[in-house]
Amino acid sequence: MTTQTNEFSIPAVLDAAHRQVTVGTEPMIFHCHHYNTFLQRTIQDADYIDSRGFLIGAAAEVAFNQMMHCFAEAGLNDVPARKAMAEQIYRWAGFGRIDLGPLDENGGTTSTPNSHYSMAWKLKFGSNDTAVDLFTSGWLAGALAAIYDQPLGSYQVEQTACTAKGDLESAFQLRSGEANYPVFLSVGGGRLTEHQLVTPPANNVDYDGIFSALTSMEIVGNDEGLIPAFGVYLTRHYANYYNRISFEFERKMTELFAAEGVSVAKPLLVEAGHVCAFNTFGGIMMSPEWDGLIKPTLKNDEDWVHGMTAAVNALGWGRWQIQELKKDDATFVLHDDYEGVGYEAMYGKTDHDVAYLAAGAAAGIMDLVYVGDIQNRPTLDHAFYNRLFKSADSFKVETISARSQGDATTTLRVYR
Amino acid sequence: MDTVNEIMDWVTANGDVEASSRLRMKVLPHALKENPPIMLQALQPNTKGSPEFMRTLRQLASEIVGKPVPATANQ
Amino acid sequence: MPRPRSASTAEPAKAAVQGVRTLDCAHKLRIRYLLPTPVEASFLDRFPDCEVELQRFSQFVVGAKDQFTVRCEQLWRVAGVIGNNELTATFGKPHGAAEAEELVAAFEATLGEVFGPVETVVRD
Repeated sequence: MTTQTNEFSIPAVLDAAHRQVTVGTEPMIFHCHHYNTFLQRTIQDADYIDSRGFLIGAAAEVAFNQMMHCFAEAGLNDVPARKAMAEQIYRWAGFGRIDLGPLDENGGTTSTPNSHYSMAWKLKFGSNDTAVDLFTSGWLAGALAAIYDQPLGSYQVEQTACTAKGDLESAFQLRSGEANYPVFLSVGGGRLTEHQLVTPPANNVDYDGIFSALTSMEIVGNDEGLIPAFGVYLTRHYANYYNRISFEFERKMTELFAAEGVSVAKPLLVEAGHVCAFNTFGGIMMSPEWDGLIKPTLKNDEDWVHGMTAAVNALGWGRWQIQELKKDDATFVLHDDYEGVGYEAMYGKTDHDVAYLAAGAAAGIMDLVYVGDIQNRPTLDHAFYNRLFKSADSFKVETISARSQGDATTTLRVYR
Repeated sequence: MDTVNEIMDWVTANGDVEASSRLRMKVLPHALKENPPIMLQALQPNTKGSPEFMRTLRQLASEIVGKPVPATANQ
Repeated sequence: MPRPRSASTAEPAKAAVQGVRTLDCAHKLRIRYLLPTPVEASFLDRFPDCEVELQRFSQFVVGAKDQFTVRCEQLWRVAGVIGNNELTATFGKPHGAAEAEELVAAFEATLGEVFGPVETVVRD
């Protein structure tokens, strides 16, 4: 599967059996601007840990690995061609537009009026006192090292202006020298398994047909490098970026505060999943795409849950199935969930479940259908969000099994 | 509002869904420096901290919710 | 151009097409139009200067319907389903609801030619 943008085809590889898409060996997953900013703010709220480093380092990690592989696969050896391909991938993924022309092997400065993170932060939280686009900072440092055949960590980077601060453009300065962020080596796609499928309860949803239809759609960055879709701004982001920043955050909280640290971090990481579900899934379930592809076959509330779960399979998050489903209780079975796969590849086995996004998202689906009455098209605003997730009727999540703990699947019971 | 619980409850009632979790995140190092440490996951109804800690808690709560923490629980 | 009525004080509707105005998450003007008759594929021929994308979902799932998106110079966008009685349109730029009115007028002129008079209300 390739996606054509201007000169280069983006070498996206669809692994349908595992519900995963990779570009240059990096698994790419869809997430919205709500999730991107909420997650970053959660991490930065803990201002007693140095998160700036790993928020940048994680981006450098994935960009470097991806570009190295993409350049090799395409046989690109000259710098202008490499820069062009990197710029196209950045735009295709919905991160904005970036111009690598002003940068050379010593570094340099580049700026852009179109940055997903800066735009998203302003939309969600308003203006900020400090620069927010740590992702692009790291992405540039990693991409530049790959372009000039330098080791990862060869460039320092600083964001010197940010539209979220009120500047006209977001600007980034790179300088050859020892990295001012931690250097991580990407784990790529991780260890994937042969999925032992469960038999879902009877429903009217064509999971495979929906997967084929959605993965055939061109959901890519527009002229501004943004992906406005389903009422949100999507990014085709890096699973390993989300995993690295989430798990480095959790690990630092554990180092400092042991169990208290994890117990404080976990609710916010799960809440980020609620935010994602509410905005992206809510938007999907009220979209013309849903009205055409999925809604015509739905006959009851349970079908709505199945329909949204079928759509999740096209996000690159792994394979999601439903094993049991009643209006107060559901069991979601996740095969090769990206959080579990990523944690195992990066850090080995853990003693607790780390599928935080999945937990919040699964609860979010149930909340939207059974509490929020998404079938009747409510307005997805702030007030509605608070009513939904503060409701005494809202769903909780219990982990039955966890990939990150060595189990075959991550299985979540969602109940109220 | 004299106790940690009262302020947490006020934040839950007046803030966004994630407000009380954000407050716990921000106040955690201060809580664990108290003598004895305040375990945020095991608060008792009458848990209080030092005057300095309670000032910090109130300030962070106000920042997160976007308005001052009232003096009494009935406000 | 007459100001849109508030939905909470609406009189019984007389227009053929009812539109409900809201803002999307980027504060662009979004209008959801309820039509008196289903959209046919020929409606898309009305926008020869725009980019038209048709998702042939009916070829992937039995019972599914084809879905279309019309994008015009990044200024406005309308999406719907062939055979359904709804359209969702967004106009203009973020925080540019006021400037979008000219775009709305032009689009609703086309809509009116096909489906009849258009009236929009603001969702409270």
